[in-house]
Parts: sequence; C-alpha cells; structure tokens
Amino acid sequence: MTGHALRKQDDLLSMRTTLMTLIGPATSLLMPLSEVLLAHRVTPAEVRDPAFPHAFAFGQYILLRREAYLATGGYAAAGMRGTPIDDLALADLLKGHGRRVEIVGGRGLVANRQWTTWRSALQGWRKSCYGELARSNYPLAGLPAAPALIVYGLGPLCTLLYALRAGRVRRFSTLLAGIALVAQIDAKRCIDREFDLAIAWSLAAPAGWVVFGILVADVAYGILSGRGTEWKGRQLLKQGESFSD
Amino acid sequence: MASHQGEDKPSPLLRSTHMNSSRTTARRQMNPLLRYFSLGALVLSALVALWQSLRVHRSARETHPPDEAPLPIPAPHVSIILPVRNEEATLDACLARCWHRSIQTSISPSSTMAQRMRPRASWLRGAHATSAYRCTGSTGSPGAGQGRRTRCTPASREPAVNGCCLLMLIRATRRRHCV
Repeated sequence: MTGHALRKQDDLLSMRTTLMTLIGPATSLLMPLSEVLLAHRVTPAEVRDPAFPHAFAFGQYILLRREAYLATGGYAAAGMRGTPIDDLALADLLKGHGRRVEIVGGRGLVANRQWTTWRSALQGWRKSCYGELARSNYPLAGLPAAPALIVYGLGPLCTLLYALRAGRVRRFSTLLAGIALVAQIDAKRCIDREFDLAIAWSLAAPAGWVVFGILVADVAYGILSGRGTEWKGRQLLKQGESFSD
Repeated sequence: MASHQGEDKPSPLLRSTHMNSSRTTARRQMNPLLRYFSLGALVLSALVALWQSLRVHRSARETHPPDEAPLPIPAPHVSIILPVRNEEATLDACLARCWHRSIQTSISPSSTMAQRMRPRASWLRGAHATSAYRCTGSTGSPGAGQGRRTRCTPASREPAVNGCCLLMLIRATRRRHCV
C-alpha cells in the first residue's frame, strides 16, 4: 500500500476492506445497501478526480502523507473533532485542500470486524446517518427521505404483486414496477457477490430499503426532538457539536 | 304537510343514494390523482433504481487492488494511528491478537512467514481530554539473508507522529499482509 501511495503520489489512500460482520439477517440486509448509497455519493474515479468536489475514505484503513495531514490540520481542523463520521470528513478536508485522494480495493488483503452485534450495528448506522445529515446543509432532509425510502422499497413490489394477483400484467405501471424491482435487486446483487452472500439476500433488497427508511425516520425524529443520537455511551446532540460524555 | 315534509327532507333511501353518488364522484376525482401519484412514484423509483444500479456497477468496475509497487530503500517510516476513544481496556489485547505482518525470512522472495507484532504503545492525553494511542513502527531495509526488521517504539509527545506516512486503522482491523 505504501509503495502504491508513493508511486501514485497519493496524499490519502484508503482501502475497501473485507467485512467480517455479515452474520445474521440485519447486517446481510443493510450492509450492502450502505455500499449502494456510497456509490450514489461517489465512485472511486470521482474520488481521484480533482475537479469532483466530494471524496470518501473507509475508516478501517487510511494511509496519509504526513505532510498533507499536518498542512490541512488533520483532526485539529475545524469541524473534524465534532463529526461522528471522521473518515469521510478527513477525505473531504484533504480534497478540499487540493490534495490527491484515492480509494483502492483491499478485499482479501485486510479483513475488518466492524459490527459484532445487532445493537452495535444499529447504533453505528444511526450514528453514520445522523452524522451525514448533520454535516449536510439540510439536517431535516431525513423527514422527506424516510417515507421516500419506504415507498421506494414497497411501491414497486406491491404494484407488481397486485398486478400479478389481479391479472393486470400488460400495464405501464407493471412494467415500471418490474424495472425498478429488477434494478434494485441487481444493484444489491453486485455488492452481495463481493460479500459472498446468497441470492436470497439480493431478492430481499426492497425489504432492506424499507428498514433503511425506518432507520432514517428514527434519526430524523432524533434531530427534530433534539435528543440527537447515542454512540458508545456518548450523546451527539446537535449539528457541529462534540460528543458529550 | 306530509308531502311538504317529504319534499323538504329526502327519504333515508334517497339520502343514502345521494351520499353514495357523491362518494363515487369523490372517488372518481381522487382516482386520477392517486393514479398519477402512484405512476409518478413508480417512474421515479424506476429511474432511481436504474441509476443506482449503473452507479454500483461503475463503482465496482473502478475499484482496483493496489499496485504491487516496490518500496524505496530505505523504506519510509509509517506511524500507525488508531483514532479510538475510551478503548484502553481492549486495545492492547486486540493489537496483540490481530496485528500480524509477513516478513521475509531469507533473500528468497517466496520464503515469508507471519509474525505477530508486539507494538509498544503509549497513551497520550490530548486536547479536549481525548486519549490518543500512538505507536510508531519502522521497517529497515533487509540486509543479505537477514530479512526485514521491525522496530516499534513508543511515541513521544513531541513529535506526535514522526513517520512520513500515517496509517489510520479502526480498532478491530485484521491485517493479513505487509503495509
């Protein structure tokens, strides 16, 4: 990795690792969807592209050039200490300073045990979701996003099932529902293959979006009510504020 | 009077028919709205799902493993930073169990073995009362037949990190190959 970083003159090199936590239904359902959402945000080529404003880094493995870290301020920079998604913020910070950021595939090289229990996974996702919404300019975006995700998961599936049951297959809405459902399953299958998950998990993609919608609704409620979210016994209360013990 | 009353007040049957017809009219007015809304939602879902699928495939295509680029001699120093908090109790055990590196035992490139790293560590009390765990390790250039050396020294407060590269890992990452 160091050789690669030196050769490519990377200031931040991050690696997509092999996740070892895909045990139980929750992680197998939701973890690949978080990768799908990541692909929404940015792709590896866009991370490398200096003209593209966003960047990303996997917190499990970040190799930094010391000079770049110190020049940009690293964790001492404004907004870095308060954010619960420091990997993403660090990558954005370096890219914002015109530094070169790269993501490589490290599956098979590094294995990572990220979440070991359903509770820790739920807390982690809630924290990441909260952090992402809090970092954005629209912290209340979760309010419309939550029902949209639920409709996105349930809508095509229900339409298709209703059409099959009522025998109304030759309809435009059935075609649209079919396309949406196949594309949802295909996107999840692409990630599931890398995680060596059975095809049943890919078929459950709509259920995953519904669960994700409920999670976002919970986070949105946390933002609205001001109770924030909890992470390892600490409470993240509001935007840009540090964890309170 | 009875006929007047009857004209003023419609019979229950008539009233029910009237209500039913108004409900049907309302439903007829609602139906196109609902239909357009559900069709719109489906169009949007299909477009989002297709775009999502394209992005995921693109992301998978663009993810490449790192190059097998040789390190310069002398090899650069790498400081390893674990940005964790309140993990004093578990961090040492985790590192001792998980942190491996492959070392070259002779001049032959194929003769490597996995060696458990025993890094020395230090806890520093940083700003905002945050505990910081820092450990610096360096890899010396192999001498003829001597193999690679690993030297781990506890980090001091000044300078906090002295390697030319910083490697950040989360607590439970298991490395299988050499940096």
